[in-house]
Amino acid sequence: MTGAMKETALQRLLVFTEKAVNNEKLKFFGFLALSLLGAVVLYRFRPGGSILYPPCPFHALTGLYCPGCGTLRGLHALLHGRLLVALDYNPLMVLSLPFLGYAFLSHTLFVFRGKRLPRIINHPRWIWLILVIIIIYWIARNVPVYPLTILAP
Amino acid sequence: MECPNCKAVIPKKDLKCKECGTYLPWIDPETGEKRYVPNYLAPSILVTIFCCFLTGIICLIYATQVNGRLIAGEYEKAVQASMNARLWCWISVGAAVAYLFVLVMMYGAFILAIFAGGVLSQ
Repeated sequence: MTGAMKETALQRLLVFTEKAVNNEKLKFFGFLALSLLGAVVLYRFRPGGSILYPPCPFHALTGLYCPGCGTLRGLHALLHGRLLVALDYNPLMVLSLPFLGYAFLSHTLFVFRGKRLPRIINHPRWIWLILVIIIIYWIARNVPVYPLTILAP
Repeated sequence: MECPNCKAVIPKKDLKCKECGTYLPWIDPETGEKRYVPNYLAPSILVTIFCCFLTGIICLIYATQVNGRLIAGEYEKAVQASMNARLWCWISVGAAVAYLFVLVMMYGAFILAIFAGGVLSQ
């Protein structure tokens, strides 16, 4: 009897999880709440001087920079209105923000109105270009030669 | 929505039935328009630059395949690539959460060891 009860409890949990995962509004507000919380913490505490932030595992293991190194410090600088400092930490992060903002706006419209904004990047060639840019950027920021060292955080 | 094959309920955003594996038709019979196949480009970039980049690269590779296959008219392959892109985005998030969890546990064990050591050495 207890076994059957456990099974129904598990099934209820599974059904509940599935509903939560398929609930676009719930996911939207969850993402928004997490982002805002992250922004508040990031505004208040400076990365690089606090143990609050985890170190990049790739950088800790290899000593090399990944495409995301400098993102937290860059976002902290952006939140304090220092655009040039942010560009110095991670230029690709700053450049990707307008696109991510557009995608977020499009998704917001989809969640509440069921419609999306037109895709700005439609041709596969441009998407491949983004992939190639990220890989080249990853390699370039690890090259210790003068013009490329600007890319390192 | 309802699966045209086995009549199971399909969540609004899905393009493939989880029960029997049937793809919903590319052109929606209700609206007469082609269905939107998400390429997860924005989440892939978010994951690559803000989160766990190694798996983010895999997300990006799948994201690049989606639009190419749609233009070639290979709708079902595009849906497969789209689902893989979504899966790898979630794997990246999971990896990041797991990494954070391990770090917190290590900090916890470290602090505990200091306290326990202090007590035992007396």
